[in-house]
Amino acid sequence: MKVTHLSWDGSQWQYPGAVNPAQPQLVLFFGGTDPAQTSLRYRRLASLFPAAEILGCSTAGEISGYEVTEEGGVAVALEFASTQIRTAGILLSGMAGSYQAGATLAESLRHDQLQALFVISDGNRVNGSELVQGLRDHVGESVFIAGGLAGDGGKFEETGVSFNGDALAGQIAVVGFYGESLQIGWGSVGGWTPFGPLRRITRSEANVLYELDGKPALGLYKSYLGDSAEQLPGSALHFPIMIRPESDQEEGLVRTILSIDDDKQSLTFAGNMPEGHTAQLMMASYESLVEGAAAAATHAATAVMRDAPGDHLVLMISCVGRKLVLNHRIEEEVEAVADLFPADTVFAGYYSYGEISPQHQGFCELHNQTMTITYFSERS
Amino acid sequence: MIHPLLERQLRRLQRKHPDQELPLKELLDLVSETYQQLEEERQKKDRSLRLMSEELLEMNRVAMASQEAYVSTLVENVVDGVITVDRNFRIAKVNAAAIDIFQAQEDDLLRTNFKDLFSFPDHQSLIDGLECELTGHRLDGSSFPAELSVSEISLEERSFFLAILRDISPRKEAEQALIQAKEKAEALAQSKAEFLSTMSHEIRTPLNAVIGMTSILTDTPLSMEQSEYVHTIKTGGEALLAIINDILDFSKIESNRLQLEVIPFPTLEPIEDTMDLLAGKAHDKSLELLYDAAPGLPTILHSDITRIRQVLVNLVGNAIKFTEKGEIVVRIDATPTSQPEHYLFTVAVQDSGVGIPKDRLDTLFQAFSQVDASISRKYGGTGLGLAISKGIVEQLGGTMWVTSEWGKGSTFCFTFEAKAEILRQEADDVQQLQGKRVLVVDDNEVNIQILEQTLQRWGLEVIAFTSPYEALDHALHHDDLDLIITDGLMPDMSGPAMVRELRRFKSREVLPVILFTSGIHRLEPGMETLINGSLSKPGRQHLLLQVVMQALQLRPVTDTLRLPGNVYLPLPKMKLLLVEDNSVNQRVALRMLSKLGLEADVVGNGQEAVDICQTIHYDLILMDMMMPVMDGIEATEHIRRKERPNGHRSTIISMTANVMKEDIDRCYEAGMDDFLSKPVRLDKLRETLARWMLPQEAASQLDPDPTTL
Repeated sequence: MKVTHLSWDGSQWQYPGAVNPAQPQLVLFFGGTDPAQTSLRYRRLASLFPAAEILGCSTAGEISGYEVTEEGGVAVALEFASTQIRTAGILLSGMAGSYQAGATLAESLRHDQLQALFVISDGNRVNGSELVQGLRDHVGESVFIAGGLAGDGGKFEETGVSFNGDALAGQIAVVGFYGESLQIGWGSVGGWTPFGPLRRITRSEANVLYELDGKPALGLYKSYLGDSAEQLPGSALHFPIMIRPESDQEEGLVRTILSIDDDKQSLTFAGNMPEGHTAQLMMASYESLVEGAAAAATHAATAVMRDAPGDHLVLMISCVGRKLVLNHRIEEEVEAVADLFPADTVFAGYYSYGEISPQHQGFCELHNQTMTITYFSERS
Repeated sequence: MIHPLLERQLRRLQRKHPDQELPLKELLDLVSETYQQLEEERQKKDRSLRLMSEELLEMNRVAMASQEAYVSTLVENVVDGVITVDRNFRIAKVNAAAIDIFQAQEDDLLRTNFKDLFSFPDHQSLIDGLECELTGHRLDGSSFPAELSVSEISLEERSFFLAILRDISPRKEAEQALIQAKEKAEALAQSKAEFLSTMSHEIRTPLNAVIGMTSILTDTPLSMEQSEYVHTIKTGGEALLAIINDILDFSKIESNRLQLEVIPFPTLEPIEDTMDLLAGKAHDKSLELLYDAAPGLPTILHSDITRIRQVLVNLVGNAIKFTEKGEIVVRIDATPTSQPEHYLFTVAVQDSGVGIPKDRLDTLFQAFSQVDASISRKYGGTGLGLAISKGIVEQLGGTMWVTSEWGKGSTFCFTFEAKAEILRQEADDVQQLQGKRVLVVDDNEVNIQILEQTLQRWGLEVIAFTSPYEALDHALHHDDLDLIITDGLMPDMSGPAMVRELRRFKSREVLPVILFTSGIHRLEPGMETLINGSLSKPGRQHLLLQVVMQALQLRPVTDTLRLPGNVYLPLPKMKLLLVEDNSVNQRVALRMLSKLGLEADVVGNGQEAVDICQTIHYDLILMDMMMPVMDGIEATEHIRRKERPNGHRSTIISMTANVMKEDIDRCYEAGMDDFLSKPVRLDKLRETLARWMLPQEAASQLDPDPTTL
């Protein structure tokens, strides 16, 4: 496998490292906080790699090498030795069809040889939980699924996904990897700690939360945020929430706030908030978030893969909430991850509104507030 | 050791400026920024901690309030009154039910001392675990029956009493109603029994007269035809009397008025009496009637011989009724109970008769139930016999049951518990028999088995034969025999025939022989000179022992159980009245009298005796003491009062179980002439009758110690 790392200098793509005179089959790119800017980056890539499948999205920050940028861009061009790829895309008009969209995409890429899916989805209009469920239910248990939701710089207004074309809101793009030579490592860790009383979700609709213990959920958030309540919904990322079925003793799912509605006293999350589930606020310190990122990297960086020939690629999809908390020190989590991989590994990624990956050896799910790592290499 | 954060910051600066020295200002900016962030983080955490504490506090309060509401809802909804009381008996809390029970206001109750609400039973106060019924006092002065249970509760150093209270007036009322219903039912049963008793008395009085007059009529010159009519009247009357007696007995058992008369008697006496009474009937049907006493059985038993005999007569009578061929065996066994000198006796009456179908076994012991309606037509009887027997056995502390197979016969068993003892004397007598050799001949194997068991128990060696020829052959060729016991009736060669053959070679002195005679058959003339003793079947064990001892010329140690005197002085024909309430006792007494060549009229109680004595003049009256309606003492007084001076005077002899001096004195005071102690024995009866009926000089010829045959 050959990987070429590109970075956006504001108007053009640059090559910060080695340029492999390659014929890439696949180009992934992340950059821009709104769909229009993202489209520009796409067009430049399309002229560089006319034969490649090009998938990308808007972000809440890009990871390029050791650096974290805003309104920048990062791209990776991949040329596989033997792995085959196919892509599929779908455009949704509302959240309602998310599960069906996942099912349709999975059916169109389904094949005996299908090994893995990488998903890039709109981050505002798509219900990530249901999208993942739809993919999972129709692609077969053995297929690995990773990816992330697009971002818009923390504004939570409109995100865009580019699938061999301009970035569009409500779009979902998936690439399928076929054959046995691709090696994939993964890790997904948050580093957040639940605190305070266990609450019960008493009123919700899909991913919109109205009441906890019979009281408006927004009020609770405002009191915990204090002065930073003015910066809602962004500041709500300081307090993600962990939910789990009442009877379930397993580790719960972490949910990030996407938007708020003052009139309805509601909060919209990047995943479903079923009534009857228990909910508990979470918080984190800088150090615990950095340590969480390192833990995800440790899980992904298996010895077998580190010794594989050719180029190595690490895609980091981290949560916008982490960026908000770590603020200026955001690069520390990227550095903590990068230090655990071989020196010539290409690092690329972005800050998202939802990460898709397996966790704790379990099924692939939509996560929030994690550093999620997908590590690619190819056998000779 | 450098902090990992600072280390990362240094590494970053080095990566940024790989060829330069560390830029101090940039480092300070980084560090300062970190401090700034840490400060923000601290503030966020402080606020979170404060808010969380407030929230948790509120949640705690809500949880406690809801827990309290839950508990108080429970307490308020409990049907029982719940009162909490402190150590000074001050009432702390009452629930709605308690307020309701005391019909008071809550505040008034809370002002009252708990002790004033109840009359505690003696020496009882509020203690943990108290559970009692007591009287509760309402504040208005009224009271109610209550049930109170108290538990002491310690809760976080506080200690108080929890009293659970229930008004049990409804339960008490229900109890009272039940008691009244029971009393009413008992009164009804009582009046039913009284009605039955009165009615049967009313029927029996004229019936006695009818039967009594027929016996007088029998003594007048009658044609054959007339004689037959009179006989029919008598048997019809007697049958009617028997039915009435059964009904009376049953009503006594039903109303629990059966009185037991416990006296000591030889254990086997009731069985032997029964055998004696029913041997004739069994013989008429060519049935073997046997009994088998288990080894080691106590010799003397303290119980109600009359009742045990009644049960046996009923069971054996039934067995004879329903058996066409084969034998009827009565077995008796005893096991010691936990009480010293007390035994549980088990008696089984086994027949080889028709048996009882399985589906009828359950109802067999119910009153007026017979296996089949056709049975009562064919065999007669009231259908009360088994119900009476079962009732008697239950009164004796036992049970009765039956096992039966249709076509193969039935076994009726019953148990009873009684004090019993083993007499030393019999054991001493038996000692002398050790090692004697006896030859037994009987064509019936069951007979042999029973006899063999008895003889072996006494220490005798037994050689048994079912064939008289083989027995004779053995006796003639062996000189080691001490005794022969032979059956009288055998198909091939009769007992007497065998004896005559034997005596041609061996004399009475060389080889003694005891001959069993069946039923009522007399010994053929001359036979008494060839044998050493005879016994009629079924043999009584104590009689057999004595006959065996006499035949072997051994001296018995005991004189408590004696043979009837060998006196053939005939008693004169006389008019006798037997006053006895128990029908089996009546039959036993009549049987004894018939052995003495006498007959008697029978009435069932004192009143009936008084009544019949007004029409018939009896020479001698045998008077039972304990009887319903009127007892023996009172009846005697009445009879004596009605006898005219210098007119006819009946001799009255009491039959009593009480032989204390004051009891005997009472008999004499009432006007009786003599007494017979129960159970009445043939020799004593004969002796007593002879004393009163024979001329003075003849009576003096009676053998004072009639122990020789």
